[in-house]
Amino acid sequence: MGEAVVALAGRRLVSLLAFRGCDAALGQALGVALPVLARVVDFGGMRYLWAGPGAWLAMADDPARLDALFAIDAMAAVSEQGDGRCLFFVNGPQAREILARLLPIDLSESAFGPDFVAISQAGHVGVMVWREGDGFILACYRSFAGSLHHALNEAARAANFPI
Amino acid sequence: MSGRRLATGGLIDRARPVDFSFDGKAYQGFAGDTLASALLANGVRLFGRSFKYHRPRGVLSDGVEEPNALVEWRDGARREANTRATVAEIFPGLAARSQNRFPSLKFDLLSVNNALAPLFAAGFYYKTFMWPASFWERVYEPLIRRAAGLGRNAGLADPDAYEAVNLFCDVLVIGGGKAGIAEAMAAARAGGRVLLCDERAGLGGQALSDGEAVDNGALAALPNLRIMNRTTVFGVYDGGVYGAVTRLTDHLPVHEAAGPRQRYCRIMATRAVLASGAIERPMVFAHNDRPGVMLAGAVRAYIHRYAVAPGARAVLFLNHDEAARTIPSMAGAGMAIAAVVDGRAASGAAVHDAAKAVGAPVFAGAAVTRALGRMGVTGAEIRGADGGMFRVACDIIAVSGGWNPALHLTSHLDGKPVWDDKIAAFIPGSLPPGMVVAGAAAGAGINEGIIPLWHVPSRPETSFVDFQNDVTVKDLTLAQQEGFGATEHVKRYTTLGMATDQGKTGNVNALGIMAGGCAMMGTTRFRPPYTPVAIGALAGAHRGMRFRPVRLTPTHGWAEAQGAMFTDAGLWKRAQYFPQGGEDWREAMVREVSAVRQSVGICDVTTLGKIDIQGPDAVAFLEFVYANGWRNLAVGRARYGLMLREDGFVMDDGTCARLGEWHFLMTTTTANAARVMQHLEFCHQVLRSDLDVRFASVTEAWAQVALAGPRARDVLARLVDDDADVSNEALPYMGVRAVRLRQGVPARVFRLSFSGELAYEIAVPARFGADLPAWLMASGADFGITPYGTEALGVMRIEKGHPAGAELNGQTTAHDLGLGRLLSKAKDYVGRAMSQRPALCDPARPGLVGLQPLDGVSPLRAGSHMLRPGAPANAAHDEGYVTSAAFSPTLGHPIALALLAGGVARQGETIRVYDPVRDGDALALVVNPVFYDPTGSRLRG
Repeated sequence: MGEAVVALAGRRLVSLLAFRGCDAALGQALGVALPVLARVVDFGGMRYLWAGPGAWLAMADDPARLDALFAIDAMAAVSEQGDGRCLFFVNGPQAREILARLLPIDLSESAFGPDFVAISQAGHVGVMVWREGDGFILACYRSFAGSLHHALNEAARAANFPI
Repeated sequence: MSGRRLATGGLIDRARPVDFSFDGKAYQGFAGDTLASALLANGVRLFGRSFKYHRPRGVLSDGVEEPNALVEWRDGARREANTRATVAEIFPGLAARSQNRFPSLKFDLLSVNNALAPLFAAGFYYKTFMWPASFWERVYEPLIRRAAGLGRNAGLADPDAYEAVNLFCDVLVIGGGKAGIAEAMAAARAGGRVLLCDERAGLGGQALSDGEAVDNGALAALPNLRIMNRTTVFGVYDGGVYGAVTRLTDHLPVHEAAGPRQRYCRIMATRAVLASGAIERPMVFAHNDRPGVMLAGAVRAYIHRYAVAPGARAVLFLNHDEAARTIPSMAGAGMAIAAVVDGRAASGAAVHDAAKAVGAPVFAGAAVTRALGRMGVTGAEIRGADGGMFRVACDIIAVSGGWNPALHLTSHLDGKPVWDDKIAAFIPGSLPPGMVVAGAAAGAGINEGIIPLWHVPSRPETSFVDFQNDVTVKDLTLAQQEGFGATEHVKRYTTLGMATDQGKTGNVNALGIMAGGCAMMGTTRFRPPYTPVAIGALAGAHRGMRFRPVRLTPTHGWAEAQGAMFTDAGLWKRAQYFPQGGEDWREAMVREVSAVRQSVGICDVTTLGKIDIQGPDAVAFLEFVYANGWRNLAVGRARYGLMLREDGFVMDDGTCARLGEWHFLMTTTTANAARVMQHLEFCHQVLRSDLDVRFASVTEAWAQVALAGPRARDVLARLVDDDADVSNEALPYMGVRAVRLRQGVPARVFRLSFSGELAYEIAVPARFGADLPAWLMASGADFGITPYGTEALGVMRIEKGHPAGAELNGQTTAHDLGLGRLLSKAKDYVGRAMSQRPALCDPARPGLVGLQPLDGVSPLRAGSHMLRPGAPANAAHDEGYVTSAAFSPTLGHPIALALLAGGVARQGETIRVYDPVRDGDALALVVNPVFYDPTGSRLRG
């Protein structure tokens, strides 16, 4: 079994902030119904995470595909965000037990489905949370990475004493 | 002696004896004992001294309501004061101590307070320590604190670990007695996630104390039910949030205690069932606080849970039928029952039948008027129905004045308990959303046939109502006489219901006494926590260096490797200076400043807020949020921007660069980054939603390093690709360009200067941040390129007269800071109207000036006040204060920025800089705040 907490380096993320009235047009240009609730939508090798009203974070299996997003800058403010964030992958049978120590959100299957995303706090650090594979991703701003990593490791250690 | 262990019975594990000590003396109990049960089994009756009068006290209860048997638990750094012996489970090697006694429990010098009791009556503190006022802090309070007070704080850092968890459930059941078990079972069978919390080690509640069998085996079969033992739900909060704490290892010796000591649980529950049971009321009579006076339910609990007979010969004093259960329990434990005293004129059949079965005499319409004995009960003085007084020898007086539903949690969100005459008890009133109440907590099945007996008229000064705070009937009467009869008043005036037990046993009796037969007043408001919670449990992992998160810049590791010392800037760690060969901060700063002024240096400026602003209306938006103009800023150029608050004062400053027709990059000060972002969102969403513009924080996406000094361009030229022209013509002052570094890394170069030298800020995607300083150092090695920290940065900005945190303090205007010329007259912007208020434009307002000592050497300290020479040194003659001060390596003497009444118009005057706190007193010359290169020729060259 691998590590329960893994730092993911170098994931490219592009922020899309739709200009006024452009939400639908943006979706059309991308060929996808962008989520209006806190959900994740996958389409054509791209993944769009809801990040607020009219705001999404995009990522892709092949990061170069994200370049295309900069062509739609008449409809949305587009900016690179990957360098500004650090992602941690929390997985394994204890993932929920670990995250219960940090996140004030219900991560049970019934409450936080596979396509859910949340903006929350973990150990006083602002995070975006979504599911990937059999685990969860926590994304924080880069400068907080050390503190969040420490908090995750502490939680993983504490999870040896289950609730 | 009194108590003894029964040969059989109880829920203790007789196969596991437990050795422990109390006040240094060794005892033995069994696994499953509390400290109270184990000591009672060993014949111990005296557990502590009372708070005010240092009266001897024993065990009153068997639960969390205990007001008397409070001890210091464990020793050394783990010592915890005011631990309730009635709930704390013993373990091998436990060392507990009594508290509030000197020098010993049996012989306590401060029990002299008892003789002085008349002096310590209600309102004593308010009346006695009024005069002289100055004595309060220096004399009275320390004295009172030493004499009163409960246990001692460990005085050392808590060595234990704590953790916090978030739990979610559909139904939270609070209390694992019979009612709670039934509710949990029903809820779990209906589906959904159910959480059952109980404060004891095992489920069963009062039923186990009454010797009933409790079958909860079926609970284990329910996969959607989670049982949390040793878990107290202590508070109810908005939105279905409940606070709870689980004591994970408090019942274990330290060497067996792995993992956290306690766990704070934030429980989010759709519904909650409060099944917290009820708490028994004592009887109020003379010397009712003597060791050996015990709640009847507690007597049963010690017998049935712990197989301890708390005495040999008992008097039972009751006023309702249910307490009659105590009779067979005591008889079964081999205790003699000297008398059953029923406060009711007509005793119930339940009482008569039970007493008759064991041959105990019943005295109806009678009352115990006094407990006899000094260090423990030796008898009871009884007044018969005919008024005749007689005495009965006994070592236990079991009392029950009825039960109070444990409804505290129902009132945490302001629900008010209501009085129910039928059962003479408060029952839950309006409930927190989502909560229902079940069992005794709702008033069900308690106080059958009760006739309230709030107190036995005897000696009011020794008839205790609140044991923990030594509040007597006399205190209550006095409070009423003196006009402090209202519920909340009587609490403050007498201290009734304060301290760790929060009046769990005393308050309702007090209300009954205050009512004097009239309608009951309401209770005082209950607040969380229900029982004391260790601060450590609330802090969880957030202590010491982990008190709050830390933000590190992308160059942090590089700076660490250079031996940098760091300083806190909000959550950020910034390199403060880079000492070499034993330099102190000042020597390092002088070297770093000189290097920048004479050659070249680098400094991380990543922490400045960076906001990416895009949209068709981006210019219009900047026009609105900044006080100065933006329409004519060309693409590829940056400009200084001044932002006002709505009230006209300066909010923040920074630069903003135009990257494209619709695209700007705003920078903010480090301290205000989040605030400015919020402000922009507010301005957009609330004030100017007509503008089509969006913002994204890119502070963390880019690592940014300032390159400053006369050789900066030479270094930059080596850093960038050959085809990138960084000449003065191609990249003039306030120019901005996207370039590619020789390493193939894309970068943005901003020709900005905070230091006053020829300078650039170079931004690269943050993943290259750790490399950028190394590349710069290599490019400038032959110029002696020098890393500099915030000390040098701060000194250079003072030399340049740039306002920063100390000047942008929320109380200064653009005029105050010498920036009045920036206020545009050609547009509207946030703060425009209010900044024109006459008082804000008054030329006499304190304005930014420079100061230098007349003698050229006297230090000028920030915080010093300015006075006209010869004027009295008092507030009436205050002319302003020094905001920032430094020794200027460039000028070779101290300099300072100050906010001086009248401002820069007073250049050339001499002013007294007065700092009585640090013995500073010097004359200084008022000068232009721009000490260095006032024409700006260096940064434009």
